[in-house]
Amino acid sequence: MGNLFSEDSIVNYDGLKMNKKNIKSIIAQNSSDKPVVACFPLYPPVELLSSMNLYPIVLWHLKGFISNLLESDLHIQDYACSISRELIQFVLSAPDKMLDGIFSYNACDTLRNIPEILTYKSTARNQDIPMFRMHVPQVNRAQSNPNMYLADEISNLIACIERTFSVQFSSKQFLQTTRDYAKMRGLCQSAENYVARGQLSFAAFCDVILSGYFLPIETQIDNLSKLISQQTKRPLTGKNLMISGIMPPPTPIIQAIESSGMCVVANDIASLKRSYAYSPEPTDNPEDYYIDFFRNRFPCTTLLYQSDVRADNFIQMIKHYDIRGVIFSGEKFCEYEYFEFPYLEKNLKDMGVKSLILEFAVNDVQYLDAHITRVEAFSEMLDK
Amino acid sequence: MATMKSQAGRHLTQIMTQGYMDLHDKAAKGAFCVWIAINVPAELFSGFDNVVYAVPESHAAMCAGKGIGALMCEKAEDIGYSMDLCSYARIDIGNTTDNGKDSPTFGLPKPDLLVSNTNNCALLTKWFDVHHRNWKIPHFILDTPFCYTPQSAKNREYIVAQCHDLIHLIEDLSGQKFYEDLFMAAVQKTWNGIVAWKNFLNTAKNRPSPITAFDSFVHMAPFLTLRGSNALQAHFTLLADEAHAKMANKDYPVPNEKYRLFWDNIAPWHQLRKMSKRLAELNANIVGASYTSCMGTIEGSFDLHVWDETNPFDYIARTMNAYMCPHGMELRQASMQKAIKDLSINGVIFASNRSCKPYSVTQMDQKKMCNVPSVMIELDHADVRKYSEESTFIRIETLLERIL
Repeated sequence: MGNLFSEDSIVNYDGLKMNKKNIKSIIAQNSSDKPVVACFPLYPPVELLSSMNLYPIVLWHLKGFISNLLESDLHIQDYACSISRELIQFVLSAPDKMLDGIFSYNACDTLRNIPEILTYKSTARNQDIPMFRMHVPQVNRAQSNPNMYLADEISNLIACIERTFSVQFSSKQFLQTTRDYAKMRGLCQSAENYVARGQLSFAAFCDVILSGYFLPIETQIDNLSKLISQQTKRPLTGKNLMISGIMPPPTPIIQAIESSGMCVVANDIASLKRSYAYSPEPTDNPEDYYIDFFRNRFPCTTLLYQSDVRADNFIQMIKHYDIRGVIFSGEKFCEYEYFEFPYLEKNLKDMGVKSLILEFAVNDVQYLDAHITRVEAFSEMLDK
Repeated sequence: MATMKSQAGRHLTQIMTQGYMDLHDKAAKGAFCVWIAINVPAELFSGFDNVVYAVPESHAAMCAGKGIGALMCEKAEDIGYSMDLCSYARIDIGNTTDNGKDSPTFGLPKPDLLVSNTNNCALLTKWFDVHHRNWKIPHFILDTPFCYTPQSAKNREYIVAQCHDLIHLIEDLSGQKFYEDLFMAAVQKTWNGIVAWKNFLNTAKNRPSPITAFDSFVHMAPFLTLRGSNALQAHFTLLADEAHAKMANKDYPVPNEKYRLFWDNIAPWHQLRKMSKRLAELNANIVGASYTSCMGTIEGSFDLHVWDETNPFDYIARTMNAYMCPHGMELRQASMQKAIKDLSINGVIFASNRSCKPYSVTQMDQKKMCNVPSVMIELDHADVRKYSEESTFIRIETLLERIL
């Protein structure tokens, strides 16, 4: 299995190879001449974009695609998170014509400013990449009803895409695409169950799911099916561990976790569980679909209205999976995650569950030995 | 002239002290207490008979200004909050760990409701969630869409609808009734105050300027904590009168004003006195700041958004987009370019603020767009541990050398 964060290879799974040198050809191969729309942050309306004959990719986990931050460092300070810095670097150093559009919705205080940074530089390079934006309401659903507003945002987005790319929304195609995404998310759940039983490695699981952010839905389904078929019959046992964070830890850390006798029986990771755990019922109505999608989705720190359910859900997961230890995979400068750590840590302590916070920044993947030692020590603590 | 200056200073001390005393007193006697983010329209609370509000950001700035910001931050860090988090938040959370033991205002009365919003900084909702979880107090999120372009009618309606939701929530929680005429009167008082404030700021167009941006940093506090009050109107009127009198009497803070600078970001609360004094010694005056110029304005200009005296909800929804953080880079740039021209600015200081990413992350590109010499300095608005005076002044002096 390839190393997600290595310099050369992002994924090397069963014939699927993606690396920074061939990202353009990977995208070209898969796009079949469809316009490529790069999206951020993590929960864009990919179903809608796919159904309108576009090729959405989600700009997350970009370390492997970039070799430095030279371009990004000209536009954003070093106290921004690695996600934003790598995202800027990826887009601004992407080969000409690789991206046909960029979609973003309101997220954190840093990411919301990035569309204009990208526009500013792209315009300077005479590459006017169309920008699509939408505001996901953050109101507390118990206090305000944002459904009409959100429905209108979706309608506007559809109209904007139709105008820009000369495509037509099809409710029939949308229904089919929502079925595909539901299937993909179901396969993610199945794979997670095998990981929880020790029949699949968490590292392989991460590689396949995260690579999916750059692949068409059909390929994602195919890769997940292949992954599941590789489950071992004999479950491995380990100490029940949950990992929480915006992104999973770098692969060497995951390998250290698995080799030190811990089993990742649950995850609360934004680009994993928080992304695939809920899929609305397939429908031909995009407004209804996204109202459901944002109302009922698995809680995430980045969706402000989910605060209460997020904390409760986290604690329920600890109980449900009989978790003995939690590793927080901290993304340095991610305020949304860091504001919650003390509260969650306190609750874990009260429940007798041990926790460890690992913090990863831009260059930390080169200096992981100290983190690996901490993981090994943490595993020993769980024995007591 | 020193007497006149001290008159506004004394008045500020008096109304701020009285404001905090009233807040504690009324809350202790059963008033419904709301904690708000700074651009939540506090005039709404004047629509109730007995609702008071506190502004943790303003309190945190005051703590930093009094030199105890780092001390308060450490209290939050001691219970697990990262040093990378906003220093206002750390000061506020630290303050709650010991019931305001070190606070110059004896802390803030415990709230009955928390009201955050998403436009100035979305992290404020996470900060208020800390209290929401610890104290089991309701938290209302006023969702205000970010403006890449001027606020749309749809977004304005969305905000107004939420204001009504907030009113209903307070009615339910407090048992009090909302009176629109009281609310309208409060908006009128804020408007009167903000007109005087703009009058005060506009005196900086004079060369030399009778004021510095540091004056505006210090005196902006009532706009945050006393909105909709007579005290606000009285104070800003006094401030404007005083500035005009100084101008008439040729009493200038930087008499040999050679460099007219503009400041972009939140005030460096822990450095106000030191920085203004040292700049004056260099014949440099920061005559304007985006942070204080934007009060009462909307996107793309520091001109006031005019209150038409008919629809207070529309006005507050519109001016919730005051401040710089809710605006995209182009809009911020438009405001700043106009200010540079209006104030005859010959240098801009972009204060890259580790505690305020929404204010800071577009500054590197804004600096490139700037049509006068500019410099970027690093600081944290309330945590002095993240500030180096010498490296800051090396940069500022280099800027001054470029201004001929």
